[in-house]
Amino acid sequence: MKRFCFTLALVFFLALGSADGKREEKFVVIVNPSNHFDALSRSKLSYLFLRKVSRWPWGAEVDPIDLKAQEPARQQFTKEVLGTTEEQLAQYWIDQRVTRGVGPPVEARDVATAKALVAARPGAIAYIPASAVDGTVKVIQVQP
Amino acid sequence: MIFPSFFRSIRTRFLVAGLAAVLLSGGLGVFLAATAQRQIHRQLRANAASIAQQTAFVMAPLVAFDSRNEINKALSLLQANPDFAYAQVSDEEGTRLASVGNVPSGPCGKDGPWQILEQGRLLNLKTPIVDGGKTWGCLQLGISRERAYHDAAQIWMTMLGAAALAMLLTLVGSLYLSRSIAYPIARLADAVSRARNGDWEAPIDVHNRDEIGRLAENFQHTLSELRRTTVSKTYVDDIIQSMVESLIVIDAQRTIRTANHSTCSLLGYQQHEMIGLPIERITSDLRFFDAAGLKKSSWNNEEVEYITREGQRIPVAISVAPMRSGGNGMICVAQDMRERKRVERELLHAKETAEAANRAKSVFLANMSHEIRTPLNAILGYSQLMLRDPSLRPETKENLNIINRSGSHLLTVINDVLDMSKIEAGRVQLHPVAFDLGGLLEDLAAMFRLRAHDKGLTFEVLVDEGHALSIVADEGKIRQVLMNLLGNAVKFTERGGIKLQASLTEREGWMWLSVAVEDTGVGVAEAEQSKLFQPFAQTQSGLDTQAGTGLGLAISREFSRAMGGNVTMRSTVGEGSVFHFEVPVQWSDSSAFSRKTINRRVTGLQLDKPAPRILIVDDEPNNRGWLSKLLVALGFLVRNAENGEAAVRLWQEWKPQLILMDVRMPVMNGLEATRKIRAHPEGTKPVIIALSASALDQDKSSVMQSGMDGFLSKPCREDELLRTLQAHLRLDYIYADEQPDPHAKSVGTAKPSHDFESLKSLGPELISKLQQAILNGEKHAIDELILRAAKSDAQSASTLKGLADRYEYDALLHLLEEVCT
Repeated sequence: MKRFCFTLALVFFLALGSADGKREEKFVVIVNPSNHFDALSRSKLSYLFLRKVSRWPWGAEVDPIDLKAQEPARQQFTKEVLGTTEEQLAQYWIDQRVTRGVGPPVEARDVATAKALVAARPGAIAYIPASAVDGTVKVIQVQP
Repeated sequence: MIFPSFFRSIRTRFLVAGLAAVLLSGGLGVFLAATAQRQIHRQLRANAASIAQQTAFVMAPLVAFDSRNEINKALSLLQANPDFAYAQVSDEEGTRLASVGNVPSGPCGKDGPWQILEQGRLLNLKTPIVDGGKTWGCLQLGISRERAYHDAAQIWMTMLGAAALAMLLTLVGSLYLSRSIAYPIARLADAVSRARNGDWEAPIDVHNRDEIGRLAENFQHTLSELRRTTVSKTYVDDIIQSMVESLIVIDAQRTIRTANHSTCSLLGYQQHEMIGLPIERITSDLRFFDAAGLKKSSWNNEEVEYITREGQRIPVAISVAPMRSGGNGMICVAQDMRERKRVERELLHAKETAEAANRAKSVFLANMSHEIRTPLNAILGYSQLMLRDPSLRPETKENLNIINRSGSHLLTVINDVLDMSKIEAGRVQLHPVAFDLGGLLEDLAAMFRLRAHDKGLTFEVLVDEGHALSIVADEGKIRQVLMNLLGNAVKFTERGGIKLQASLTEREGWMWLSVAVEDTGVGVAEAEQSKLFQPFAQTQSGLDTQAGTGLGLAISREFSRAMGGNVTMRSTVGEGSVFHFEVPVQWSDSSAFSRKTINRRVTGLQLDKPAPRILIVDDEPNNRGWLSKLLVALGFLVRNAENGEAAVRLWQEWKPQLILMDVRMPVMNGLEATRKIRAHPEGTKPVIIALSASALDQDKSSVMQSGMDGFLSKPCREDELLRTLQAHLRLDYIYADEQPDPHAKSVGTAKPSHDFESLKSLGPELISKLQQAILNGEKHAIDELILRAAKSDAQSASTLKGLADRYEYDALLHLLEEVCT
């Protein structure tokens, strides 16, 4: 676990350096407008998407929604926020399914679906390209 | 059900039951309280665990998102729980994130186990905060057990209080119950046992208003009812113990069940010793104690002997009755008879003494009469014999007459006394024989006419015709009564005359002979009439005459009463008296009486057959002497024997036709001699006549039993003897041609044929001399003067002589005075 955390932190620092370098087509993390948070750290976001925390502090069920693996936002989110690769992530969910009976978050068909799901579900959380954001969802800041 | 002794009281039982209930409820209370306490603590732990897990569940996202405010808010919410003590949330490193209250030190990392620890008044819980498979931190929670303890204590207090209250209530309740139930019951029981012991008077001190009160009240009522209607045991006991008579009660086995004080003192036992004794121990006479026999009848006043403890026998009179209650018990009351027995013995002794004395008196009288009669026999016999001598000087003849008459008088007196003693001894016996009533009356008339005329009185006889008949009665007693009445009439009459009336009447199925003797004498004063018939009580006139025994009328009345008749009298002083004699008689068919013999003098035997042989047996030579002289003079062949033995011998060799047998003799008495003769084959031939001076009738009957044919009492009169010989030997006598009594055949209305005018011829000189001699009481001179008078007037002289002989000087003087005037 320590080893995993160490790797994650290393990945995180590398990604920061590269993002600072490009700054285009950024994804944003959206939640249902009823959500209390305005900002969340990357570790906290990864706890949410890796289903390490099942409830929001006010009690609502954490309902993470993924995009399809070919979506660039996903690739970007996996790399920057979760700090891992798709293969490792797949391996993680196999472990989780075996040990805890928990599977990976729901995969939306497209960005619009993800956004509609977040707007409909109070505990939902998703990531979409920043251009797709509208008033039906609330964007929270991803802090380092 | 057997209880230990202390359980026997209802009060104790109430207390024990109450105590048991208290202990049970107390035990139950403790058990419930302990259960409740355990339940409270279990609940507390369960609640604490639940709170800890809920809190940990809520805490998981808060710790994960590291929201301190939310954590603090959530912790402070826990404070709302009243049992809350403290809470602390640490992260997975053990760093304290938030805390409330006083948290004890101790590690609480992410590896810390879930635990719950009881430490004193606190319940310490440690719970890991887990979510999404990850331990985010640790929750420490402290729950105070203060309230639980408090609640438990309260339960305990309540329980104990309730138990104490229950105990108190039970105690009070059982005390109350024992007071209101057990105590009155105990008092009622006391009263019942007192009543059973006889104390019916004690009040029952129970005043409940419940069932016990009613019971006590009813018992009291019953008791007073019983007290009123029945007597108490002590009362009955008192009666039984106070009885003078002995009382015992025996049961069916004849064992003594009750014995009173009198019995114990009579028999010398203690009361407790008597109970259970068999009846055989106190009496041997068991026939009165037969229960079956008692069913029929009870015994009353039976004489039995009781046996005392010392074995002494006591005569008692017992009455035995079956007990009414049945069961074959008997009640026996006995009375000490010792005193009565003693009195009875004394009475018997006194009676025997009196009877012996009376017998002695009778024997004495008989002996005395025998002793007096024997010499009298000689006197009368010889004087009569001497009078037969024709060569006697008239003077001597007269002297002999006096001796004879005086002797006869003495004999009469003795006979009277003897008769009276017989009457007093109740020994009057009747000897009814057939006799000639007319003859008797004629004899008496002849006898008393002479005496009446001698006294210068008229003598009238009025007899109904047809009385020359024979009747059956006691001739001797009738003769005695009539002689007495006539004698009295002559004795007490100085002037006038005497009337004899006789009649036979039939009345009440009987022939009654009634004779009235009427005189014109001095009469009897009314006051003296009652004394007249009492023995030894002479009337004044009787005393005045100085003659007689005073027994005559008493004997007459007693004899007539013995014969079924009576003698009554009627009298007026100075005018005279009438004595009336009445007696029942029977007709007799016999008529074989030779009449008119009494006054004729026997001078010899008709010599048409051989002279009868007569044996005279007497130990007294004088008696033999005059009898043999008399009989030899008449022509009988006579021999003498001096006792019975000689008589038997003489009879055998001489064979007399008749034996005159004295009864009392030495060597062999008359009775035995008679029996010896009668026992002989030829012994029935001779006629045996007893001669006895004994006047007792019982002697007479023993004489007749011995086989004798007749009885002559000594001294015997000549005529009686000759008549007896005539009757038994069928003799004919030659009678002397004596001067016939001028009145003998004039039965009927006779008038005094003689007046005393002729006395005047005696001359005044003789009369005055005679008067003088009478006044001087010179008997010889009187007799001499009368003899001189007889020369001139024999008839008058004989009258005077009669009076003088009887010492009737008054009459004599009276007569002489009459002549002079």
